[in-house]
Amino acid sequence: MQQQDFDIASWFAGYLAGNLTSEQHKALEEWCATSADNQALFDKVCCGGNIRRLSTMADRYHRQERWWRIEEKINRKKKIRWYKWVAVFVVPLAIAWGLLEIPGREKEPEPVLSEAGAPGGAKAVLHMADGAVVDLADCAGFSLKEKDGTQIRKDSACLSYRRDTLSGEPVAVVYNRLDIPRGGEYALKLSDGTVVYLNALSSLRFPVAFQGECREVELIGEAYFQVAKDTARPFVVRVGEAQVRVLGTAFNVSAYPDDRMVKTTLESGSVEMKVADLEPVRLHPCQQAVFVPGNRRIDVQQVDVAAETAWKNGMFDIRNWPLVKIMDYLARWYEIEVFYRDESVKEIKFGCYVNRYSEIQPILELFEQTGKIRAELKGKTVVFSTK
Amino acid sequence: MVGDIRIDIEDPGTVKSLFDDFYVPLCLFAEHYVEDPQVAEDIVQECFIRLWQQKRVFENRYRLRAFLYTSVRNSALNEIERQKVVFAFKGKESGKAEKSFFRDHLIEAETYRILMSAIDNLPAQTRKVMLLALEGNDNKEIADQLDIAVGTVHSLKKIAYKRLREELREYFYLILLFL
Repeated sequence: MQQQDFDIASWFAGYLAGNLTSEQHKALEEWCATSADNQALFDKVCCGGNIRRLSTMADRYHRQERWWRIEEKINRKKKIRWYKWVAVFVVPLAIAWGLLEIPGREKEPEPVLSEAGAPGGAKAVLHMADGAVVDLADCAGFSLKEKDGTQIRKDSACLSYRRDTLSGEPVAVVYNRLDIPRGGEYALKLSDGTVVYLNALSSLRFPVAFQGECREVELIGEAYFQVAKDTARPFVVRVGEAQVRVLGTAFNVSAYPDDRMVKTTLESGSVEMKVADLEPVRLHPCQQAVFVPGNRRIDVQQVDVAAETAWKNGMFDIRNWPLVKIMDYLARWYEIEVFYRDESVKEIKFGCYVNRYSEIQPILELFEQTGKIRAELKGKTVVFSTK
Repeated sequence: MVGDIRIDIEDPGTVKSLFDDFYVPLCLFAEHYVEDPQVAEDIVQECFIRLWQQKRVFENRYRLRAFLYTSVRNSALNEIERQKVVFAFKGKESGKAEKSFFRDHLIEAETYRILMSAIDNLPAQTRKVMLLALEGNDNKEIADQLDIAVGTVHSLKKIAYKRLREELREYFYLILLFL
């Protein structure tokens, strides 16, 4: 490979962005004229339809999800260092917490492979303000303190933040982030008493103690919020350019990047969904607001709240979804890969109301019992075909 | 030498900024080989993890880019070998054909990357206009899609071109040398 190849790319980019001077333009023409291959490449890359095609291809990638997987790997070293620090300074506590790591042990613990089709469970990774990363799946309860004095407590499957209001001194806002991996879920109690249930493959960034006139958090993925009432300080959930504003209420926000939509479902109270400069939408209980990025409107529809929030109560409530949508949904919770031997089965609709903590096999059997499809589970792979 | 900035892969922040810049173009590039978006994503993900694990130092940006594309290509070729799938281009055995396949798709992916990284820095509305323009829409079509006046499209495009010129200056410097 030659440096020249990269230069040609910048040339093409300049051409497409309309930025070439007349001399540069002429030089580009000369380059194209030197060989038929050059000309063909220019025609292929620099036509308008090509950029559209590449953008459409690019939209299919799961960038955020992939970054999380990479981050998981590259933060491992750091995690060990943090544990070392714990081991050195708070050894007795560390023993009590049951997370003692032998200092200097560089060998990574082997990741536990989940059994085929086994359900998810309480799993999360906490990113603290100083860059420390704490895996909440593999340690028992503990307490930590953020640098602004906020107490963080971890119980079996819940993380809670408490701020003693004694110190009246305003301090800089400190943020934490909780990432939930595939097959994980976690409950979080924020410093104002708001409870957040985070679903698999989701991430929440939040201040460890709320300050100012607004309680604001950022979400990727899906979460159910029980907002502590505080009429003086609205609670705001940000999802990209959309925001959901509430005073005190319970609602569900689903915003998985690969769904390409933000859905807010109101259980009780009142919320307002706002997107950039669009007319805000106010929801009544049992209503759902749907925003599809790129569309210039927010749609409101009546829904069954129980179905939308079933995941939080440990159930899957699936009603008449196409198989492909069901399996995309289940694959966030179960570690499975899905293949369709016959494309036609993808659109067949199914429904079920099942325990989310059961294994996947019984769910697949339910689908099979309809007599419409055949499902084979081999290891972590599910293959669907026509009966 | 131009672009002569040493790049140390020493903190996760560097990996993140490279990921933001190169993830999509590398996936596009890999997909030409493996013809499956998920496999392409797997390959690129592994490439970034390797980049981190090997803690390499690159003398300049070309070396880094060359490493990324070569490493993705090698993984893609291994994957194809492993799957024994029918390869997209004919004459795979002849080194020359693979070389030009590699070059052509590298240039395509890099063109896309440079354009998108320049466009990403534009203000929201201007960016939308430019994306639609690059996708081959004329001013009238852009105005209709964004629900704004044709005159506005025209002036936003003017601003965009000016900004893009500044964004692309680094690259044009290279072009001038090359000419």
